[in-house]
Amino acid sequence: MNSTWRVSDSKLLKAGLVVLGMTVMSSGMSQPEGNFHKRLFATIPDAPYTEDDIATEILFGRELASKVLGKYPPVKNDQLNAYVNKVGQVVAQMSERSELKYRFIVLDTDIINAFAAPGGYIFITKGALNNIEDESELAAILAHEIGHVELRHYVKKVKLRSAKGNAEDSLGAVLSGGGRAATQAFNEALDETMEILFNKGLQSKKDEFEADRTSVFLLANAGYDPTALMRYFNRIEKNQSEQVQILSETHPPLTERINEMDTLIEQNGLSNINLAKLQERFNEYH
Amino acid sequence: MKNRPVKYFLSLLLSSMVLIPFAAQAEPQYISSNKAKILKEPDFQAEMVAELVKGDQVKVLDQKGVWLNVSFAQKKGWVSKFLVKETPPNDRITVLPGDTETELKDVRRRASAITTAAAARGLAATARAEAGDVVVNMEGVRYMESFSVTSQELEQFSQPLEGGL
Repeated sequence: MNSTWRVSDSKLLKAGLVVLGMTVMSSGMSQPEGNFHKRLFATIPDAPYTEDDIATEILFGRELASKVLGKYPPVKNDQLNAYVNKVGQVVAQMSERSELKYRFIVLDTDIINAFAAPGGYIFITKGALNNIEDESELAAILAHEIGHVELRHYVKKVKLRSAKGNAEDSLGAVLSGGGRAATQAFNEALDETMEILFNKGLQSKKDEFEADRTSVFLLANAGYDPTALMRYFNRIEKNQSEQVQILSETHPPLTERINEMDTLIEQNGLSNINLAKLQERFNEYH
Repeated sequence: MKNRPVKYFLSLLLSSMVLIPFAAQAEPQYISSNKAKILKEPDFQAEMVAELVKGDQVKVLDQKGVWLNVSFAQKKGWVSKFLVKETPPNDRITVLPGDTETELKDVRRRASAITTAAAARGLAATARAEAGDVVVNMEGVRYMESFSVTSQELEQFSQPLEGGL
């Protein structure tokens, strides 16, 4: 009897361990953020950002904003900027980084682009506005830039805060030391980010696709047509001007971005959704 | 007697198989956006059950694609997973003097943020002075920061978004 029990126990024990493994795997699958495979190969999540990290990010973004506005001055049209701010705030309400106050401004240049500085400073060019047909497209471009801020693409790129949460090699750690080294590091990081914004781009398709994806869902959550960014890209892709060429130098090809978004929209049943485009209101202000 | 630990282990194992998934799902999660519509169905155009605000707690019961089925205050509904986080949202942080929207409630945190801000402000000014040929436009930044939208204005501005067009 005893020996039978021992054999059964051993088998049961093994079977139990297998089942436990499967249970842990299946509980992983049932959690938000997708399947076990994705979780297994996902990068290690960031360590929590402290309020000092965020304060540093905002101050860095503010300095960067002063350089962006040094390159391209703001359009001095209070009514237009107030309108762009309202559209931006509608979308920003859905942002997961509610600790930030997002700010928006139109840049006085014909280039077709939009930029984000860490901390929530968002810029859209007059050239981009001239190619927009309705309010949802404006919201979509601002939402893409909010995506870069939400996902801390620039913060990680210039190690304002180390991507691995390793404080030792972050700019924040250098800054806290003060002195000349801090000033130099701060200036270098600003120059590097300007280079990324205007010449090199993030050089990461993943970052741009992620920001496009964020735009789609920020729009849907705010009540705007989630296909707006795709519609805008489809339009400017046909525009062979030099301005569009400049945009392509810092971003992945528009066709790839359109295809990625098309798949995303299709997979999430968003293609036939009837949310706001607000063409008339856009025309009132633009 | 020898079998007792094995039996205990097996019973513990069986209980954990049943309890682990539920325990994990029962943890409260938080609305991370300023507001979040809770809908009757997992569909952006579905009827609204309620509107929750930043920091409100929900319990996640199920997930379907990008939608979470949640319960709160004896109600149930669906919310976009992008509006819900496992950790409570941060208060608004500002580093600008005189910004009335500062919401830091804790004195220790306030002191910490202000110290950082002051140190970095000095640093930024030095960095700017040493930047030399790079044009900076602080007046432009202040112009950009002069625009603000009250919650009432935002509410009114958002009205046309409710119905779609």
